Order: sequence, then structure tokens, then C-alpha cells
Amino acid sequence: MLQHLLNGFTVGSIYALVALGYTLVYGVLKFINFAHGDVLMIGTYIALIVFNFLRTFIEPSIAFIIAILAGMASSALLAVLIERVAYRPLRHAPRLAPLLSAIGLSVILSNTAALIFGTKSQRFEMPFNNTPIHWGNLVVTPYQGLILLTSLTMMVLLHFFIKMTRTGKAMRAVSEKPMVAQLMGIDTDRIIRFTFILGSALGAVAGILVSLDYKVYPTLGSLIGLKAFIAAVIGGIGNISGAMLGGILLGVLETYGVAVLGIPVGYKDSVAFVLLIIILLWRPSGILGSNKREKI
Amino acid sequence: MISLVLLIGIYFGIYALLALGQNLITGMTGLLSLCQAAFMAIGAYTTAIILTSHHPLPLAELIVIVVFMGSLFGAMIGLPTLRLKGDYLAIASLGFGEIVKNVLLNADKFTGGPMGITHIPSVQLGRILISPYDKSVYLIFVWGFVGVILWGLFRLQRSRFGRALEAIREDEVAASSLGLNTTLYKVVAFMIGAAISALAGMLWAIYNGSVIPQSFDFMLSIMVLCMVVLGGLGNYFAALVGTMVIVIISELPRLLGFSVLIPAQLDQILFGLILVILMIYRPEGLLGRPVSKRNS
Amino acid sequence: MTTLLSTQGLSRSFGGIVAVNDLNLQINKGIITGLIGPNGAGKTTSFNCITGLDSPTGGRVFFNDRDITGFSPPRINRLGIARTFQNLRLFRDMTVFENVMVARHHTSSFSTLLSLLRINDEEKKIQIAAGHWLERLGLWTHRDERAQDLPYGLQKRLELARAMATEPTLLFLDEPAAGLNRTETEQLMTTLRDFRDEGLSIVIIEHDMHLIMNVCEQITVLNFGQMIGQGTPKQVRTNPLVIEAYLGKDDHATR
Repeated sequence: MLQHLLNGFTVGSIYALVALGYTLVYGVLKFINFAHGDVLMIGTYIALIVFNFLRTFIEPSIAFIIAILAGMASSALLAVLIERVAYRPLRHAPRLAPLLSAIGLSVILSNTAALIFGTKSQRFEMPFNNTPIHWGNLVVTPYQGLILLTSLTMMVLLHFFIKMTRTGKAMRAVSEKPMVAQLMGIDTDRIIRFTFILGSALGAVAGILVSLDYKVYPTLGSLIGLKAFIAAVIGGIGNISGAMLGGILLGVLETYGVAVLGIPVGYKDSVAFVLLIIILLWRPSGILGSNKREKI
Repeated sequence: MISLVLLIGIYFGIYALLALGQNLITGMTGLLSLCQAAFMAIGAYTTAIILTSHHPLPLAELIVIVVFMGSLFGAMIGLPTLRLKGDYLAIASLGFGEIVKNVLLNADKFTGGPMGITHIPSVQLGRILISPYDKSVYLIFVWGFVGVILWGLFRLQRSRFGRALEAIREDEVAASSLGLNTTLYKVVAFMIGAAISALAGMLWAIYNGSVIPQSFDFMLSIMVLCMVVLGGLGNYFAALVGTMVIVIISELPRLLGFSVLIPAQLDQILFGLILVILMIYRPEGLLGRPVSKRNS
Repeated sequence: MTTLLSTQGLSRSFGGIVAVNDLNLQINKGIITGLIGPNGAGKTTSFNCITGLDSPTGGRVFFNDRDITGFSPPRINRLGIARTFQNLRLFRDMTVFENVMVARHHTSSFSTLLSLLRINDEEKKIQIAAGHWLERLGLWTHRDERAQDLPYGLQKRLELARAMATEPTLLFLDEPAAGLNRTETEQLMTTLRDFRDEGLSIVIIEHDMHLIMNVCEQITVLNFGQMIGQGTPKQVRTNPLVIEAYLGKDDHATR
């Protein structure tokens, strides 16, 4: 039982990290950044390349850390570029336009990756020892430990960043009252750019961590992207704690669904969608989403 | 070459049906739903199961059953989800679509699982054999459907029903306070759109002679939405233009005879690029109405 | 005088904020009732709760002695209650004629679905009825214009025509004179009096005291979601509680 909870938590924390990227951008721009998953996939590939290059010279674990940083940086850079070129011109366009632009980008990125890196999946060759550790009945792999530790640290840091720092407060202001924020002299463009950087860097970390177990492939982004997006919506899109809650909840329920409730593995992915629909019907804006009424 | 043109014409017709259904749902009624692929799958599998059974039904009865199944699933998906707004409806309907695909993949007994259903026989229209081997007959068959449905949709647009849908799209709150049972109208519009897609699925199944779940994943639904938005929402003619553009892009390498030289990914990248560029320069679509109005 | 609509203990809170607090309204048949109060007093929220657009967190609404609490907006409309909105809610991209025609659809929802299959003479009836209301409110000549292209004053009138076309017995108007000039307001007042004389009961939220004091037979004053005064215009004008709510404690100026 505890083992499933642990496994679910691990998957869930990955979902949560990616979900944060959707939620942060939705918070400030009110649109679904469909390309988020693909941006983190590119970051993961870059990390892989850096890692493979460095590991011949230096200690693999140090190479891995550098690779993570490189992946974060490249995802962030790519996200900034995309925001500037494909989203900013559409800020006042009809609501569907940025969504479609994002879909277009997602298609471009995943196919470019397939073209350059090939469709075969690749893996990080053992950055460090992954012999499972046994604690009574509980089995923890070092990868799992790394995933949990890193993602929880990231989430705590993000939480304090949003609550404490000037930039974090400005982000909240832009997401809650964009007009007022602008009148108060907050540089909205800068905040939006920063939001993309933050979201995609977190996403890249998640992408790299997940590929320790599942390898890297061009559709990696759309697969975890879709799940993470659902997690964000379940928690209440635009709400940061909601993304974390939704991610963990989804991860745990998926694991339990298969392991405990005996849902056939083939239907595992349906768990997420069924959960999504049930939660939306119960709370149309997600668990922690504000149910703002339309002003009549 | 002629055969290729016929082939494109057939695919154009099938996709056109999907786009027409989507335009009724999204363009006319203002519901951002993303599950045309699921409705198409329902039609395709219904057709496959009926035609491969020991007592295949004649075409007329097949059509009635396909339309019935399409609208039934439209109602099943529409009733719970149509209470949701905007992006939430999009993601919930997308979820439903994935569940449908998942069931098709796993309910091996009826659907043949991942291998799908093969050896779907041709059908007989009076004395004429409608088979994939006679492409020109099939082309006329497909476009017969497009013609009848277009005619029906134009009638619908000018009817009181169409006017009610337009009112709901413009302002659902006002429409409901004027006594319109908005839920009923929305569900019926959704059912009609679903039935049209189911017909597209039927045509697809007969033409390909086989169906597999992978043909109906959410990227197809997104493509269909792109066709409609690319053309210009709320205009059936524009939906056809949008469809044509996307079909031609995706068939371009084959058209030029370069399909061996150009990897499939380049094609997709081109599609993505066109989508992004179009949204930046003409966010309201090729033939869309001026931007001013659909900002809500 | 008979009561047409009443609320008992009507309440609506949003999170911790109580917008309407235990409100007992009484709307009488055949007269114009004014609902006034400072901004945020809960006027529009009460309208929304009565017309089904919002669900009260407590209390009941009775219309013709029938409990209509929690009914859907279309159902309430069909019982004979129509409304307009504080911020115009026209079908902006549709023509003036179509806007009013939509309001006639409810005459039979089933036949609207049938209209898909065949042309029936229902459509003709709808056009005639819609035409009647357009003519009545002086919009007939504008019938083919898009709603959003009309000048503001006419848009407000169109919203009124649209609400009237549902043939209500009780009409709720949320700030009908906001943004209108003097002449337009006078015209509106005449129209409302005519409607009343024909038997329609009307409830008006309005900040224009000239209009309220001149067309309303009865006035209800809200503040902080509660009723603080009720009576004829004359009674309300001299009610110290009302003066206080409007002008603050130490200000003796009167309007």
C-alpha cells in the first residue's frame, strides 16, 4: 500500500512540475500553452546531448547536474523566443488564435525533434548507481528519491518565490488584476517573459527526471504534457497550489487504479480523463480554482 | 496522377464533413469541443462491425444506424460536459475522446484491439458498387454526402433553430433569460455535429477497408479544429476552404511526387508553420469575420 | 393591492461577503416599484436570484404564490418574468429584428426544433409579434441593422423591446436610464407608464432619482443587502434611514 503511494507520489510530482508550467502561463495570459510539453522535451534532449558530451571528461553525476542546468536554460530560452514570436502578437486576438498558434508550435517542435534526433528513444546512461534500496517492504530506487527530492524542493522554492519576492508578487498581480498591475507600473511584458522562463525551466527538470526511467523521445512532451495539463485543470488552472495538488492526486490515483483497484493497464490513461470529468462536473473550475461568476 | 487527385478529393470530402460538424458546434454555437475524432471513430467502428458481421445491413440502414450512434454519443458526451465553459469544455471533451480511443484499444472482443477490424467489404447503392477500388465512384459518393449535409446546414442556419444557436453563441445569459432552453439547443447542436462526424467515419471505414484506434487520436480532433479556425469560424464555406488548405498541405509531397525524398516530419513542420503564421497575420481565419466581435 | 412576487429571507453570499441578507421583498401587481440603494447594496444580486441567473444561498422566491426558487432562467421567463441587464446584453452581431425574434422562440421550443424539418407558419407569427414590439418602441426602421451598430440609446430600447417580446407580466429593469440623455429618459418614463397602464408590473433599479420619484408608485430601499425602507416616493424621501444611507450621517443636504 505504502509502496503504491510512494510510486504514485513520484509520478505525481513529475506531473505537478509540468503542470506548474501550464498554470503559471494560464495565470498571466489566460490561455493554454499547448507547446509547453514540447518545449520541455527539447530541453531534455539538449540535456541529454550535454550529458553524453561531458561524461567522457568528468564524473557522471557532475555532468548530470550541468546537463540539468543546460536543459533548463535551453527550455527557458526557447520559451522566451516562442512567446516573443508566436504569442505576443496575439495577445489581443480572438481567444482561439493563441491556442492554435501554440498547437502549431507543438507540431513544429515535436517533428523537428523527430527529424534531428530520430524517433528512436534514447536514455541517460547511468549518471549514477540505481540499485534499489530496501526499507522493510518498501523499495525505493535512487532515481525515485532524486525525483521526489528535486521536485519537492522546486515546489517549495517556487512557493516562497511567489509569496516573498517582488517579481513573484508582480506575477500574482498580473494574473489577478492585469489592468491594475499595468497601471501600477508593473512591466507586464517582463513578467510574462519571466513566467515563461520559470515554467519551462521547471518543465525541463521534470522532463529530465522522467526520462531517467522512461528514456527520451520526440513525443515525450505531448504525453506528459497532456497528463500534466489535466493535473493543472483538476487542481484549478491558474492556481499554483492547485497544480501541485492536481499532479500528486493524479499520480497517486493512476497508480492505485492499476495496482489496487485492478483497472486493466490498458485503461490506465483513462483514469486521468475520468477523474478530470468527474472533478470538473463537481467543481467546474477545478478543486482550488476560484469559481468566479460572470458579472451580469 | 489522376488517381492521386481522386484520392485527395475523397479525403478532402471526408475531412470536410468533420469540419462542417465542428463548425456547427464551435463556429455556430460557440462550443469549443475537441472530440470530432471520437465521433468519427464511433461511425467508423459501427460501420466496420456491421459490415463484417454475418448479416451485413444494406447501406440505407447502415446510414441510419451510424447517424443514430453518432447522435447518441453526442448526447452522452454533451449532456455532462456542455455545462462547462470555454477551455474547460475543450479539455473535458478531449478527455472523452481519449476514453473512447482507449475503449477501442482495449475492448478486443468487439473492436479487435490495437489491430482494429480489417476486411470491411464494399457496399451497394442500388446497383452501383461503392468500393475503394473505383475511386471516381467513391469520390461522387463522398461528395454526395457533403452536398446533402451542406444543404441541410444552410437550411438549419436560416431556421429558427439556427437563430437560437447564434443567440446562444452571442450571449448565453441573455438567451436563457429570454426563455430559450439553452442546454437543449446546445445538446442538439452537439448531436448533429457528432452525427455528421460519424458519417465521415463511415465513409472512412468503407474506403480504407479497415479501422484501427490510432487513426482517431486527439491530434485528429485538433486538426479538424484547425481546419475550421483556419478557414474562419462560423462560415461553412470557409470551413471547406480551411479543410482544403490543410489536406493539400498534408498531401503536398505526394502531389509533387517527392514523397520519397521528403520525410513525413517536414510536412508536419510545414503545417505547424502555416498555422502559426496564419494566426499571427490573420487570427480570424482566411475568410473570417472581422476580429472585433469574438473577443469575449 | 395584491402581491405578485415576494421573497422570504432571500440571501446570497459570495464567500464571506453577504450581498443580499435575509431580504423580504414584496412586489405588487399593476404598479411600478423602484429598487434603490447605494452601489453594492445588493440590488442586481437580488434581481439575479429572482430571475434564476444566480442561486440564492438562502430563502425563497414566490411568484403568484408559487415557489419558483431555483428554477432555471428560461423556466422563470416562461412563467412571465422578463428582465434587462445593467450592461447591455444584446446579440451584438445579429440584426435588430433577429434580436427580438429570438425572444419569441419560447412560444414553442418543440416547433423550433421542427423548423429544421419543414417551414411552418410559426415563423410568420414570430415575425409579426417581433415587428409589433419593434414598431411600438420606434425601432422598426432600424430592423435590419446590426444590434451593435445602433446608437447607445436605441440599443437600450432594443433590449427593452426584446424583453417585452417575451410577453411578461412582470418586468425587471436594471438601470434602464443609465447613459441616456434627458429626452431619452423622458421617453422611457412615458413608455414605462404606458406599459403599466396596460397591466404590466415593473420593478426598476435606477440611480436616476428623477425617474424613480416620478414613475414609481412604491419604492424599496436596500443597503448592505437588507431592506432599510419602503413606501411611496414621498415617504421614502423623508425617511431618515434612507437619507443617511445615501448621504452619510452628517450631511443634511437633500436632493
